[in-house]
Amino acid sequence: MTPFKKNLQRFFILFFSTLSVGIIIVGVNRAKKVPTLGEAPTPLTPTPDQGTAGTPGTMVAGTTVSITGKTYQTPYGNVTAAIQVKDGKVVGVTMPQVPNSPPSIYAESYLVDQAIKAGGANIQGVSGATYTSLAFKSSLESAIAQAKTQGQTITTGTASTGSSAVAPGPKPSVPLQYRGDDDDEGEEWDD
Amino acid sequence: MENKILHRLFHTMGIAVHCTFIGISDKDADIRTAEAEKIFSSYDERFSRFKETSELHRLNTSNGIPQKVSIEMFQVIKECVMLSKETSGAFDPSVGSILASYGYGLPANFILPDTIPTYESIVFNNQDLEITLAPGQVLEPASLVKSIAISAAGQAFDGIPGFMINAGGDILTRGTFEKGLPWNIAIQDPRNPRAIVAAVSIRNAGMATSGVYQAHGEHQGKPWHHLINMQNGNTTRGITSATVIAHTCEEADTEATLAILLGPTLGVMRLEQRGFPYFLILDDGTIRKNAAFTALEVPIDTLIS
Repeated sequence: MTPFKKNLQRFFILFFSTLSVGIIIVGVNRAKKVPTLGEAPTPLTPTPDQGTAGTPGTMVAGTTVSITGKTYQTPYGNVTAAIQVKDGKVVGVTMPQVPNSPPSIYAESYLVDQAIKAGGANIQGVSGATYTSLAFKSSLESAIAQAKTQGQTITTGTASTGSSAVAPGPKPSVPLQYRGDDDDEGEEWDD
Repeated sequence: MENKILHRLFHTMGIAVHCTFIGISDKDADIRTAEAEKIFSSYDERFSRFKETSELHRLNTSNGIPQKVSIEMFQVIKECVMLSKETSGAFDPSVGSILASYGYGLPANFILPDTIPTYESIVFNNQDLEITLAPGQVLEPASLVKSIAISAAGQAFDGIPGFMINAGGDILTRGTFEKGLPWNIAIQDPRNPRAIVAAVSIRNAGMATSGVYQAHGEHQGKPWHHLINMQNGNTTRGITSATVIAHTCEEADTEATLAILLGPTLGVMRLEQRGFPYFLILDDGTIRKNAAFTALEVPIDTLIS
């Protein structure tokens, strides 16, 4: 082997081993950086500029326009909702992108409800809604908001047009008593 | 004997499944979790209304032609129809037609027939394991399927000193938590996913919360959610969130779903008859619960330090 070839071989060995170490470091960091189940900020961060829609000003009465909401990240993948608007009315809702399963190797990092854990709560589980639907709701809201900016008048006044769900509170609140009207930040899910 | 609390999590059926194990090794926890994941996946593959490859999708697009189905499918649909009969059609798996027409799940671009077929038009052939649906009939047995999968996973965990399965808010506990203590399970505030409204201490019990705040949207100006009373095709009003505790998660989930569908009067009547501990949050924010629930209840402030 000529000295040049030897040097070239050394260079390649060094280059690829450095590269693989780099990839491993990046991979480990990514694996470590999984969002926790109990904290909403990460799941509810929209990926920028995912929202797409028809060109403004092309709305014709009687036609149905489809508007895609922002994509929201959940611990399990992205969630994107779309609405179909016809004559200022939402006539359909779709969730075209459904999260995929993450590899089970990440399981240990998710320790359910870190938020509750951080508060020192002796609670092993919470019975109720799921993350996917929360992200779905946020994506839905962004689609409705976009429809409005495009000159669509959404005539129905459901609370899903509000944006309060997107701004997560600083920590989990634990009301001792459930009352109907004392929670200004809580969104009405129904009417 | 291992005393560590082990957590495992996987994702299936569009929900997160969180398993907590007491009294087994890390390696055992991995093996058991893999088994549970396999069980959930097999139910998902068969019963998903969101997958074109599922057996349910084949049935839902059969358009009136008799379909040979698996024993699992046959049993689940039969059970759905039994519940439909019990509730005079308030619960009806044919709700899939309405949800599909809203663009929620498959079949895609589904147009609702003028007369929506009900559970009464489902024909079973017991000899040949065949199901015949009416043309344009779409079934959605999801609420039942999820809790059946939890029960199956629970059976696969048999022999573990203590475990909890939490599948998207539906919970099954067996044995005890650490140091022989019961499991403390909280109930989510339907208006704020990060808040809880009550908590109970349970062991060897299933617990499920059904709510109209999960999957919902709007169709032709009218708000909808995934729990639709099929007697009139409208979404039910009256109960925002229903939590039921029973021995199995299947019973708990079924009763919670039915409570929402039947509404406060009939729903409470049914729960009282069966004696399950229940906790309901009505649309106006008031709480209805029975003595059986209060007996299990622990004040939240004693659980938060």
